[in-house]
Amino acid sequence: MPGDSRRVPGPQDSRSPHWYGKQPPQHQETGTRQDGRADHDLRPVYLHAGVVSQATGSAYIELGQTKVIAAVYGPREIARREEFTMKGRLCCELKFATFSCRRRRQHMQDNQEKDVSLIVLQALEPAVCLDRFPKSQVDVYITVLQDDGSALAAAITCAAAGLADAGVMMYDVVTGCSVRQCGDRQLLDPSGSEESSQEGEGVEDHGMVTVGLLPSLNQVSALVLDGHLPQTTAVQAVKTCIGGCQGIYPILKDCLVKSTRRKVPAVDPTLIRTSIDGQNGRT
Amino acid sequence: MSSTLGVLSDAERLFIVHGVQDDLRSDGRACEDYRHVEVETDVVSNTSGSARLRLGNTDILVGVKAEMGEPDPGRPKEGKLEFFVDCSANASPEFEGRGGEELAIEVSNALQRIFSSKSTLDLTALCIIPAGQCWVLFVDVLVLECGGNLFDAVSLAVKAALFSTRLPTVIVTADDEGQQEIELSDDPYDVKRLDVDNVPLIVTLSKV
Repeated sequence: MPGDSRRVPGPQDSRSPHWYGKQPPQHQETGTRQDGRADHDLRPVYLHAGVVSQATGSAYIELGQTKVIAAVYGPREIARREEFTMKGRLCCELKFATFSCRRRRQHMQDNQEKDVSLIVLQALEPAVCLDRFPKSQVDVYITVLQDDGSALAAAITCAAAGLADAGVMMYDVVTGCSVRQCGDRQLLDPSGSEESSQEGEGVEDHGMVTVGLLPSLNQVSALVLDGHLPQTTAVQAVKTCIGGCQGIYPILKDCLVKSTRRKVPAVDPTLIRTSIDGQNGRT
Repeated sequence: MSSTLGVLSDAERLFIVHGVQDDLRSDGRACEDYRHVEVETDVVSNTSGSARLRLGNTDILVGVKAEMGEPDPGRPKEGKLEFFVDCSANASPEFEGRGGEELAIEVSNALQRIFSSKSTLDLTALCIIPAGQCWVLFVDVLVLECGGNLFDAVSLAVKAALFSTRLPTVIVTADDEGQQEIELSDDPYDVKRLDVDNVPLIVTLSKV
């Protein structure tokens, strides 16, 4: 396993104290969820674009306690000359910050992070007009600062907002949403404890579905299903996710309008009138 | 997934599309037909289980090596399953050096995801001493030739290899000081097989 020689690694056989403590409280089988939401309620979303000054575009999202930041650089020259294509290239790199999850993560990107990066790339690619920047590439760097469930969905939405903020031409913005299926219950936008809950494993249907949607075109660009669900339940879970994605879309639109207003200085109406008078020969 | 395996001219592309519309593919198959599959198990002698699979032009070799290790602290009564996929350079010239790494990671992540569910393989059967020792199965997939439909072929080959895996029977005895000792049975036919009935198979569909 290639180590990271630039950093001092912790002791190799250290263990998280959580293994020895009591299990975190599981969510109740019936009734409301731990944070008081109904089954199909989203958590409050905070989305802000234009947070990283050095990047071409950036966005920061908070989905309840899940915090993700994305920075977009480009279009810029492709790093390796042999990969010139007439279509542009989109590169996506996602990293969980080492302190973001319950168990400490490694500094190097591990296989799960590479897998999630690929899923976000597959979610964003259909929306971007790649033929508008031939022989160039756009890099999207996503960092999950705190993972309290639905990190992939948050990353997809955040990256799309970052791309829009960077002015990359797109057919539509992508929104992401997840659903956790626990037996008969469908929990939209699961929190961390709901996501990692082991209830019902092996006996009932349990699984997690994440969908990336292009809302105005109503097309699905990413679909991930973990666990095992019967056919009808899986289809129903995907529909619920699509509903959740449509719910996030107005928030995304609103955020992008606000960030554009901040970038473009407001034009003073009185200044326009005086200049027109001057041109007509009247002083 | 980047693939520059072949560049099609517009005429060739149109030929394929028109054929598919009439339920006829370039090699004469209908849209929902599989190619001819050949599976062989126990092909590699140094492994606990192995399989070789040919699906048309795709050739996959899987070797399963069983080793004894410590179980995960959170799951003391379960064994472990580790996947590693290697797209070797003789499968395709673009896999030379680190070229095949991206594809290999995609395939091994797919395998990891489908085996993460508890109902696929009973990992408690791999336990030797709870919270002490367990079987760790290293499933190594070698892609010898890449002729399309890699995911399907890999999942079939992995199922066949796990089916052919033979774990020597372990006898746990407590010696005088109360320590537990592990002994492997001498009889080469005294082995434990795995129940692979619920190991899933991947099916890939492509929309033309």
